[in-house]
Amino acid sequence: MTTENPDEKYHLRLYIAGMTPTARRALSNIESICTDNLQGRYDIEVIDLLEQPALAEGDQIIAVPTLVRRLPPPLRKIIGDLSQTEKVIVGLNLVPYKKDP
Amino acid sequence: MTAAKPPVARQDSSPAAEQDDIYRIFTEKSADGLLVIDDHGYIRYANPAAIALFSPASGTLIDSHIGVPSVLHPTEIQIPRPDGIRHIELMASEILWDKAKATLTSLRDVTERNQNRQELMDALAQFRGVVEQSVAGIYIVQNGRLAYINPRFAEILGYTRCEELVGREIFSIVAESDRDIVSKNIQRRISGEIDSCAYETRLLRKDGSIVDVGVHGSAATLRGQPAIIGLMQDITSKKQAERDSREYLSNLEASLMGTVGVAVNLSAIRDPYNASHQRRVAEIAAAIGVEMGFDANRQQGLRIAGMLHDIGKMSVPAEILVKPGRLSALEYILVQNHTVAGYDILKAVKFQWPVAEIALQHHERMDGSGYPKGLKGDEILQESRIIAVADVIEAMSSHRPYRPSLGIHAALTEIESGRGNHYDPAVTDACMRLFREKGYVIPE
Repeated sequence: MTTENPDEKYHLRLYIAGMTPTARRALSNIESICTDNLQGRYDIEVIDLLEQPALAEGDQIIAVPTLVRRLPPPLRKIIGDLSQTEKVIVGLNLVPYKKDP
Repeated sequence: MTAAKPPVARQDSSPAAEQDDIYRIFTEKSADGLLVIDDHGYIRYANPAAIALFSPASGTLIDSHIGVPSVLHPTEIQIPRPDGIRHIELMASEILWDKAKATLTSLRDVTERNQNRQELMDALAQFRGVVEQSVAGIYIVQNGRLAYINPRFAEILGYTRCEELVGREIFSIVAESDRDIVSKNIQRRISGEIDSCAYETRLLRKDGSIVDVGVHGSAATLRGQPAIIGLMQDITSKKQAERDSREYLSNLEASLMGTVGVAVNLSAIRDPYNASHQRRVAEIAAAIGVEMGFDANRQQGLRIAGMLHDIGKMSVPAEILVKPGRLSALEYILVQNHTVAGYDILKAVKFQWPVAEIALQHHERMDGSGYPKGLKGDEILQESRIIAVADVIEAMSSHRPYRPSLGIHAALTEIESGRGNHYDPAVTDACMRLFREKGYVIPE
């Protein structure tokens, strides 16, 4: 059930371990989904665990690619290459931008 | 193993309990990791294989927040572990777990498979680099057509792109005169008669000109079908060098023979008998050499030695050479000295045969009774032993200023009677076969 503010900004963090083909696909997919659905109400931060391994602990990352919705709360996570848009939208509980009538 | 709600072993033996036991065995013994992830991304069940994959410090995965799988089709994820990153193939399917939506996720460790694949890809890339940049042409022939060629192969035949040749019938690039031999060589390898063969052939360039190539091909299998994979090199330069070398040798030999001819002609001005004697001795010696199985090169050496063996007689006063009757002791010494004089003349010339030594030894005899050194048997060069026989045959069967011909029969009798003591038995036997069995006649 979506109860979140449709104007709220999303802070997303994508954890990867090196720019593998799967990581590249995940980044491309989330950028595309955000562009199509969030209309600028987002920012995406990419964390490469090969360069910053300590950051995995904060969000308790045990597999990559993992996309974390850090804001708005509650924190949500999805894993994989994010290639099924519907599952990404549902998994992150994104509220698509609705144009004024 | 820790699992929130795995199918646990039961004590009863009802059908439902037996079914649960089977599921429990499947999940706990599965080599693949199995996770049940709830709709909020928390792990609700993990089998032992899954726990082993993640190696959690706490020893359990239950309630770990892994995240909801974003795809149902197979995808690859990575698990960062203290001992390195494991590559995992993930497959997910939606299920109900405790009456709520969840995802059953199977995990298969493909780290080694990926490494092997990467190593294979690297090896293929290296191999392709070697093949593509090879200085030799590389080709694969299958079903009579070019199935693959590298850029160098195309370049040798004057094409700029490999695609112009791939798929072409092999005989369309083979010179017509060589198609039979190429066909036989291909057939022998395809049939398994031989594994590989190397040969030289002539191919057609794009502009229709001929290029000499050397090929070395081996039987192989390509996509389950017999094929030939091979190397091809442009040997035009090598062939030209061979032609140049043959021409040079031919010129050199002609030059040498011309020089020998000049020497003989010069001696003929002073002593015409001796000049014609040397020519005939040369022919007889060469004929004996043939009879004894000498190869062409050694026969040529005999011929040249024969033509020059008495060149030293230029040092003997002409009146002694043509003197009828017996020679005085001093005159005889002067005549005998012609072998040493001949050696002194010839030793400065770098023949490929020991011409000077042959001339020096042609009056030596098997029993040591000859001159100038009194050599015996094998101490005497075999060529000298042949010249010795040819010399006596020619001398006795020809007219001389100081006496008429004694005839070939007398000459052969002399050789036969001297077999072993004066003349080499093998040379004597060859000479007898030549004259008596094969009817050899001394050229005029």
